[in-house]
Amino acid sequence: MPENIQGQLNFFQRAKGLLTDFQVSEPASTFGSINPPIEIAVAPGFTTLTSVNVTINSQTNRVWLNGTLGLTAAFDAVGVVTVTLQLLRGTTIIYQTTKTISSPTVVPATVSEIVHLEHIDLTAVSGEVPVTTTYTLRAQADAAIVTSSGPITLSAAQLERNP
Amino acid sequence: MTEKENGISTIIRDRGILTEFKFSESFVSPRFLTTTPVVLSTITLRIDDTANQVWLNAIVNWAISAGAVTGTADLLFEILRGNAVIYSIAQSGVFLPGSSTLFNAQLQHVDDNPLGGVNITPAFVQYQLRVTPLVVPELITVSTLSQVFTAAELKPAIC
Repeated sequence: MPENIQGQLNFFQRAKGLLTDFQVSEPASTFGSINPPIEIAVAPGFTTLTSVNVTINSQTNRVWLNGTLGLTAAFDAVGVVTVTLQLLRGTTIIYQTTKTISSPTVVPATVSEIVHLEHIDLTAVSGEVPVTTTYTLRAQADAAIVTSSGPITLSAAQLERNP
Repeated sequence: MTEKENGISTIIRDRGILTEFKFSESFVSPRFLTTTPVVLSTITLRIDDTANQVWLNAIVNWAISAGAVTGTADLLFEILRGNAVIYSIAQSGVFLPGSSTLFNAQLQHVDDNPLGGVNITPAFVQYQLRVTPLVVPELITVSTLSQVFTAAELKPAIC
């Protein structure tokens, strides 16, 4: 290949964007829009909140996952509730975080909270490509007082490897 | 460019789908909240195709300074396209007597209809990040301290 052609090839390769696919599942986009609200299951149960499918094109691609949701806890008195949130690839847990929601008052109170999850899946696929992978966001609480009335957002951005 | 060179450039065509990125950021001016909504940031995007999506993200840092009271304050964080609310999320701030407490609110939304059904492109679309106080009890001060608001225009993936 002539040198000037190789130079142009390198230029275009450098300029190529790495973000090649973006999928989102957003079953609710506003606070209060899920009515009745989704009840978050108590351990050992889990409540599936949403899932998103991504078609992986290369074994070296990464999937950048971002989940954001609103939760509400209804307290009868002073208390703390712990919520566990997980991201799954298929049936495999690939990310987990916990959030506490508390109320400082002796009278009944409703407390709203935001949870944001972020994870990069480096091993999205190990076999042949392309393959469609399902990512799921699910939640569990240690007391039956937590609900979600929205919003719920799970996005998946597929990134090619760096040049 | 020769025919052969054209062929090469076609093979290595750009598959990247991120076509525009804008942001608005501030960490200087506190905005005190009482009862009325406050617009924190505004972004204008130039949408090139009706099939494009806009990935919106924001983080707002806010605070409560409390007097001799205990309780919660509730804020509603919103994203507007034009004058329409397209996303909202609520956060409560718990406070104890004499406390100064900091909170972070995170927003994420994908606008899959940025032109609102209008099929004329390109078109300019304005997004606003707004906070609306829902419950602000007496004897506390609520303020936002900083925020970052980003908007990424994405075209459909080339499969």
